[in-house]
Amino acid sequence: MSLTDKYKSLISLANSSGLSNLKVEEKGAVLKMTGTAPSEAVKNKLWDAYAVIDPDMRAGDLVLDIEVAAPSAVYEVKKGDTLGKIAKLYPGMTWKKIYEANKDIIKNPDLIFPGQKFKIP
Amino acid sequence: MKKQRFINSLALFAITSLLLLACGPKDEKIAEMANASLGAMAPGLGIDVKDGKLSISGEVESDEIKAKIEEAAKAIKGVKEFSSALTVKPKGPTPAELAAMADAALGTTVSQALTALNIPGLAAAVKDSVITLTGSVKRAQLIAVMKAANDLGPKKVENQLTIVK
Repeated sequence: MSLTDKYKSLISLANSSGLSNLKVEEKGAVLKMTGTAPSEAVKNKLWDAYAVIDPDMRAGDLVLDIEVAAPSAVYEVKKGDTLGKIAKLYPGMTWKKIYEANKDIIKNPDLIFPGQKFKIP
Repeated sequence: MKKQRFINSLALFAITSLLLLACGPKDEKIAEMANASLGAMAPGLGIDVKDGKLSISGEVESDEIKAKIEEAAKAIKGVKEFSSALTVKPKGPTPAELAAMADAALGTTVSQALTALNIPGLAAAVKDSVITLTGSVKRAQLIAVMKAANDLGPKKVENQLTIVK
């Protein structure tokens, strides 16, 4: 079984998680994945996927070198805000991107609370 | 009187031109040959010829090349005198030394990262950009330890950790 097959679920998760500069290359029986995740939560998800494939992480055939993008801004939620309203304050931003970058604090994108601090990716 | 002065200066001019001509083309020829033969051995040499005296300067890769160039320079036809100011480039670290330096640097950063996790007995060794982790960790800590090692972009992570409950 090739390494890309073994780590298929991890690779497809990475592909669909909005990583930038994602690179997957096999070199000397080691699969090296590098890239920048939009948030710590995304990075953690990738690691969880790795743990599902190889719970003991003992095979030594994967290097998962994922950085987390520094937020370009931090926004503190005020009364009456919605993710859509906040997104409009930043050019090119969508509520979904903010949601993805803050999944660790936003449980439900329809429910946000004053005082929450969101990373604007 | 005026005419005499003119003739004098004319004569002077003729003599100087003759003198210049006498050594000019020869020097040029030596320089040409030196450029062709020495330049092929090491690019960017400083080659200067004056009255049959050849001077070379510059930096070359090794003692062997320096000796070869000097030998060849002396053998050039027409060279009466020869002086060399060639220097040998100081040797940089060998690839093996570079690799050892990279391993040492990676070893330091991985140790710092592991110390930050505050897990007693946890250790890492680095060889050829491969991080080998030893010690024992709780299963809940495994991802954190693996992350710390993977984040440094090693070639491979050799996990020899004992995983306890």
